[in-house]
Amino acid sequence: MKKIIIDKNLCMNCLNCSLACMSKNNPHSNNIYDLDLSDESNESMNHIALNSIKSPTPLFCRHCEDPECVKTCISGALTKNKETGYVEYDPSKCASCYMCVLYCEYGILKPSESKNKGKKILKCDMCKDREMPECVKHCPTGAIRYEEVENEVKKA
Amino acid sequence: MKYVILGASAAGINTAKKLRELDNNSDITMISTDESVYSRPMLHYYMSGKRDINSLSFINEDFFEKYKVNWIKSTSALALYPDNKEVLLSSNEKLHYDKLLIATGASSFIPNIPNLREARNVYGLRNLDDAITLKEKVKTVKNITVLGSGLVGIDAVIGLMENDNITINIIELADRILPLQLDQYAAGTCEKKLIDNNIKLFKSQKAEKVELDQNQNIKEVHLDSGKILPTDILVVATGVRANIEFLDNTNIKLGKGVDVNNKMETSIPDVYAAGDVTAISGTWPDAVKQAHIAAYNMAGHEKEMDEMTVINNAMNFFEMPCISIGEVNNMDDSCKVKIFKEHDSYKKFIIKDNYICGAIFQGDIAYSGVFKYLIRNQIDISNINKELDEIGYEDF
Repeated sequence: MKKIIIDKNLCMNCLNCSLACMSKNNPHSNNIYDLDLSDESNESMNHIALNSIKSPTPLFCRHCEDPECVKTCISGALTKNKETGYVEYDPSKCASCYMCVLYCEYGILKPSESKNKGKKILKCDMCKDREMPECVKHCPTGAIRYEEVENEVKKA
Repeated sequence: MKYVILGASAAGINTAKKLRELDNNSDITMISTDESVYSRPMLHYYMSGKRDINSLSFINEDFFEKYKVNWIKSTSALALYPDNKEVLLSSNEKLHYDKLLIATGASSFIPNIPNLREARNVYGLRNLDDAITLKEKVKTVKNITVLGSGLVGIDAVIGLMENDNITINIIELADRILPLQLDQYAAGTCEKKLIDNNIKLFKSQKAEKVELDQNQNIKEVHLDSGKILPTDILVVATGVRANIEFLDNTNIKLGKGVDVNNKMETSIPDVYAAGDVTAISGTWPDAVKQAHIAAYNMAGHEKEMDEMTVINNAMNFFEMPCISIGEVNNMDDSCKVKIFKEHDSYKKFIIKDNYICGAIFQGDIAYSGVFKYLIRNQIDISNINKELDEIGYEDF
């Protein structure tokens, strides 16, 4: 399977990854020039945070091998796809209980702030219908890369 | 190998699933009193009409086929015969097991208040039947009293309150609602939402007795403050008791529930337990984690529960997300409290020495999972040159 590999030392906090994610998830258009940054419903699944020495750190869903978010989901909305290795999210099943937010100790998950999304969570889907995740495609420094990792499912 | 699982909720289903992942050939039989699989924390969505029985499920329709689980529903376990490795079922059948999981859950506890245990119109909110009954009954009544304002009590209120022309009373012994999860301020925010919805709140008060009519139905609840609440239906939300009666004939070690070690083994060989029946925690995530550990050990892979756990819960009442981690109320003098308030958001941290021992997030709960990690592992935060509420995974 392929995963997003992060090299935080290369990150320069340009936020291209976040914009790419917002643009990809924009229901109106996937063209970056159409992305309305004042529209709160355009949200990114990833974020970059500055640590206490002001060094930027890309924070992305790891699609964990034994995902806490899946184990703690009360509705079956979050599932681990054994074939792709991805942690998938079906908002139509989600009960907005936020157990996954509490249990994601990597601090990746949060509820959507957009009112018209019904307080669902923001969850990376790895752009699974595309050749590579948009965030990676638009990273100019190589801080995030899309690479083959050992097949964790087979390994188990 | 023949695995038998008693119960088809969070613990039972997840044990079956993990067992099948670990062992493709053995027999897995699941026995459940329930006739459908549903998520208990979502029952209030059924009452309010937001979900039907199908959408209360937390598994896919093909679950039993896909994981090759033989499910015998609407059937209870009546007795366990460990010497013969058999379970007596309500169908009179005796079922043999090689490894057994007890995941029979818990039942609503009815407190010992004069007349209450004799009364007929008393309901819990625990099983789908409870939700179905309450949803039906609420159409014909005027006054509903909910005893207890913990997670289940508030769920019940939310499930019922959208019905017109009813009065809902909540009685709470503590000085605030959700006393185990929230502090005064955060509870106050939720209480305001209740009051805005015309819910009547009776805090720091106790139901002293209930008055019955000639049909053994409650007509009034009398509080120790002297108030009398006319009541057509009483919902009890004062905790649960483990479903362990069927173990009476055995010498299995019991506490409040079935005693287990950290491999989820009971005192009887080849008998395991997980979920609410163990009376360890009561939350969905813990039931699932226990189920996984039980499954690993049942399938012969030694695995133990993580020792570092912490009390925590996530809530979303009135579109007001709340997260509670660790000790949020019982702090000693050596603890320091740091509070961050910003219009709709409230964050409170309780700090002991150099680590955080408890936190409440209300409103803005984004990325709060990282604090569970910090609290659970007692991570030293003294070197982090940041405001507490800005700490994230980037700092570790």
